[in-house]
Amino acid sequence: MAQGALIDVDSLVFRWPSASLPCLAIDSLRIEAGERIFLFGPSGSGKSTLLALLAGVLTAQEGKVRVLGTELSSLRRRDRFRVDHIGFVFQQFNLVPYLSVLHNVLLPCRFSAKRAQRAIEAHGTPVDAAQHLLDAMGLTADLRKRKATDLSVGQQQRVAAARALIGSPELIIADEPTSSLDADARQAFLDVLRRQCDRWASTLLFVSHDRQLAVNFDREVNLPAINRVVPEAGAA
Amino acid sequence: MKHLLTLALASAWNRRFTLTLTLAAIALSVAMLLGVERTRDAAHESFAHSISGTDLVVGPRTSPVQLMLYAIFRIGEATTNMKWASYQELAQNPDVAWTIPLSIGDSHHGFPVVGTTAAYFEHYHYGLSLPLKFAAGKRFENLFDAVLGAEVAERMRYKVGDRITLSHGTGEFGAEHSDKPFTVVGVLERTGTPVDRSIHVSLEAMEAIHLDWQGGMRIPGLSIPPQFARKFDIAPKEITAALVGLKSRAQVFQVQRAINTSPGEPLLAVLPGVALNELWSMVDVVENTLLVVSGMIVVIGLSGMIVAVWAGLNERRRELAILRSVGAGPGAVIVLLALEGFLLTAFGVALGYALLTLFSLAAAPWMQGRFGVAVPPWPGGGNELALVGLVFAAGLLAALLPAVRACRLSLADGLTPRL
Repeated sequence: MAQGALIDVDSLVFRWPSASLPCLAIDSLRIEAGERIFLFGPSGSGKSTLLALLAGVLTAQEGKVRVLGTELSSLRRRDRFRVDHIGFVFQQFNLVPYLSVLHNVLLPCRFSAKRAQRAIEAHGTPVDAAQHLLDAMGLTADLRKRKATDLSVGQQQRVAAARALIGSPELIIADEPTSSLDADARQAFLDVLRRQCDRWASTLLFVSHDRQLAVNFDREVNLPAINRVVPEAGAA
Repeated sequence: MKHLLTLALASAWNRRFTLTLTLAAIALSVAMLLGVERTRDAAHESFAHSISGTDLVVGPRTSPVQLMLYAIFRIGEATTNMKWASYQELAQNPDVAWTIPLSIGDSHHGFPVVGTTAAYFEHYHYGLSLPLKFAAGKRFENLFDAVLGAEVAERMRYKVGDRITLSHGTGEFGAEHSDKPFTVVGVLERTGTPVDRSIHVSLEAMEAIHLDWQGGMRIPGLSIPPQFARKFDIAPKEITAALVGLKSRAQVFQVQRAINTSPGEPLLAVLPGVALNELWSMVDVVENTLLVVSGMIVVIGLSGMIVAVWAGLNERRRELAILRSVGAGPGAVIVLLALEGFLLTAFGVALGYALLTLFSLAAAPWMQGRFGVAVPPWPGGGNELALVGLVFAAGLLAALLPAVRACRLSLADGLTPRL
């Protein structure tokens, strides 16, 4: 990753198909490999939209979004690229309700041969990798066979983190993963997430509206500050 | 692809209670569709084989369908009769191998009484050339002996040795020939043809019970006791129809033309196969209606599937968003949802088959006895495969509807479903 940034957003403009005005316009956003980024923005500031653009789920009308040097809009198999290189943790309801804890963690390895391969390289089998990560997340072995919905919210978030980390993707995107946790659980979750990102050398993009959490990160990106749209929309 | 199947199965298992109901609806509708189709086939088959081995049915000049109705199905009444002399002339035709005279018009509790001769038991064939067999007793020998069809014996609980009285005319409430009771001497095995519903007596007996009758009434003041009947002339004078077997089938059109154009009594000869087909075509509409109705039931079953899968979509939007975040593309979402519908259809058809087979195995004897036709437990004609294929195609199409909707939802939702 020496030759370029892990994430490189250039002159991006995004408008929802049903809207007349754009909701995101970012001149430049660069995130280097290995950084721990805190992306701050109040609700409605376009955080989720930006994440969807980075994930290749949405495509911008103008500008370029490069992840790992790859221009996403020119990519034919964006879904494959996403699972190969990005792990996600969402705010809540992260888990497929009808799968066991273990199978939820294994999902990325089912869709991506690359993730499965890396899990095998690190731990022998994907199942071993999943169990290792669940252990690291402080989830006891007896929980693995349980259905995802049987777990507490805090436990579910840690299962989601294990899933994001399995097969060590280059980028972990965590979208408000702690907002449904209480203060103690929040700090514990942050600590274990950071530790695992270090362990697997994954870049962490942590999104939240709670600025107090920023101290845990290398750098803060203030979305309202880099998004040219919001003040204009507010004025209009 | 394999992991999508695993996911689809796990997801379906998670909603098994709703889906079981959908599955049951599809299975029942498929069982019904195939049941109707098979019964239709079997009914046609058994109808076409009501009589076999007979080359011509001969009677007084009327319409071929009418002649078949009363000669073979013993339904309705002949308006005119055929002279005994004409029958004898026919029997002596050098091309004719055998003849069975039939005299129809009386009944017993709604069952038709057929006056005939021993030739009936000899030459009457049905199905694929099956002869009549006795379940009990023997042919009639004495004047007031009667041989019953299987259904008559079963429904009326008659057995060999019982005495029965016949009624005049074919209605349930005709005057009774109570002065001349008959003795049951034989019961035929079940044939699945109108023979089962018939009571067979000799032609002479038919004459004898009408000795003291005129114009459908007993002649007042005249009563001839059965023991004296033989003293009168009870040789047959008229019959209703005759079944004819030829020495060579190749002669059939020639003999038919000869009978139809004979200068004597106006007679009609019909080929039973042709007339049976003509008769069957009259019930075509009913047949097709049945098929259309059961087809509509399948449509309802599949609509139920669309509704069930569609209704589940909203609660599955998060699940789909999660799957998209771990690499499921829009195509995978379509496959996942369509697989569910496809599996439902596949299992529905399989279960429908199983249900139908179980039902037909269990209920066949009862249905045969009660309705004269049963659902065969095994596939009949080639139509069935085409029907199953149609159901599959419709099921796949129905499965695609919610799948495409799910795909559009998940494209709009991205990774964060708006709920």
